[in-house]
Amino acid sequence: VSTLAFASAVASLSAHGVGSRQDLPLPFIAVLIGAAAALFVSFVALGALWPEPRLCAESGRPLPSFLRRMLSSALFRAVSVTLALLLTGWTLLALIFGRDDANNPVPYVVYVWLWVGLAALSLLLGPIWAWLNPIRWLHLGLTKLARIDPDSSMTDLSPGYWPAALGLFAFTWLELIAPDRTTLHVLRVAIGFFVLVDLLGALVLGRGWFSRADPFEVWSRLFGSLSPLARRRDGVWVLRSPLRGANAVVVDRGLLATTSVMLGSTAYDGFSSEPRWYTFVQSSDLPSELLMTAGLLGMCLLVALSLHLAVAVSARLAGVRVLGLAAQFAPSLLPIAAGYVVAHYWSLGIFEGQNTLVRLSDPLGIGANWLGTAGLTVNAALLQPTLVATVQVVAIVTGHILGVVLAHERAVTLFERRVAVIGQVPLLVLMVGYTCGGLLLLFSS
Amino acid sequence: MVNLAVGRSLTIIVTSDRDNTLHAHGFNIERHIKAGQPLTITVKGTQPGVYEVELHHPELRLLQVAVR
Repeated sequence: VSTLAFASAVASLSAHGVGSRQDLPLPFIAVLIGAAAALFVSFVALGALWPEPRLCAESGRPLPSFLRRMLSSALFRAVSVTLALLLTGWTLLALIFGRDDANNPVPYVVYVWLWVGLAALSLLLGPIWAWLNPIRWLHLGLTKLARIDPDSSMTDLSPGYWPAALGLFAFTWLELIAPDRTTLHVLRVAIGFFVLVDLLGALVLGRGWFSRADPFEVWSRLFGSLSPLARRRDGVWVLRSPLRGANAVVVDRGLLATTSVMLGSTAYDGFSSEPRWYTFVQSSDLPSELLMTAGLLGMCLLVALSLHLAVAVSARLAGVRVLGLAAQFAPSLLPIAAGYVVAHYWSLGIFEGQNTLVRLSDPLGIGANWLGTAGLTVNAALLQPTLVATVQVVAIVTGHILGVVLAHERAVTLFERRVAVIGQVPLLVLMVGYTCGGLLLLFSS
Repeated sequence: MVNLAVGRSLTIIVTSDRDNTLHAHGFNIERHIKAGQPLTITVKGTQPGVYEVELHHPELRLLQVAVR
């Protein structure tokens, strides 16, 4: 097992919020293989997939009974929630009382564990943030103290997923663009502001706010819909196809914006380390933050508009109304977004994820080793270039395949049978575009 | 982007028109530069990856070193 010397002492303000290394460009042959696989699968899918809707959410293979009992047990839930709250408290300790230097764990917890780690855990285990979310627990405690019903809403208005779309955009802006984003004074303001807004939203709209509007819960729920592990409506823990969960995602206003931000922000992160782009940004007379913000927004809009365009052509071909149709197809972007996230953040998550644990051992910056992890060296076995390139291509192509199948299911659900095949061609073309775009971003930056 | 084989070294000479900080990410090098005086640093490729060399005041990316 090879190890890396643990680089510290110097602040790392590179393309990501944290992180001092990036992956080598994807070999061109890997781009070709990935693109060919995506094209091949798409055309096979057109001819070979089922002609009638068949992805019902209520199915799956029940887990062995001891696992089911453990996952449903009050003890297991209490322990996991306690751990999440302890980690939150520990991080707040470092945020409020820690030293503002490169060894402070807060930027690592926020930009690596909360973002990349939560996406990975949700993909594996399901929407875990729905029951770990510390702000949900804070809200519950406050409403209990004030003796008000946590579910009561002061208004009938529902903003749908829009607050989450805005919150996710704000978070990625903070992570990728905000000046001094790894310093404690910026993080204190950002975290304080977020907790306040999230809490107020829940107090005004009731606890339901968290499931649609809290950006991290939505991040976890939407990626968690792709998890093979799920809890059926009757409470039984099952193993199921990732497609069933994603197909059952509730379509509400703002869902398209949310998935566009999830895909577009990751694409921007890859794009931002493209040398021609950052040479342009830093040699321009305009403030670089302005150009980078335009780039991030542009990527998200590109995803949303291209989906709208493809769906408009689909609607024309299938002879159905276009209104609201794009949102119906938004869940098929989820596996593609997940593929981008895995491909893009695999090595960052593994490398800086371990660095986070090292830094957490000394939250106050006094040279302590309270968790016994301060002396860990980063295990780089999972960062070998060939392995990383393989993971990247497999993730992108798998996301593509799942996206194609989901779009197919939607097409046979929404379109008449005789036009369902022709109606999904524009969507397939779009997805091939996203997939080749994702591979090219990994190739060129 | 400059390619660097694992085990080989790369010497970079940087001159800045103002006092500045040079930071070679991943190589753990952070040095002050005096305006007009060339600064020489040498980085050695150990772990494969892409690492950025940049100035901090203002933020300016100079080059990427691809260790293969």
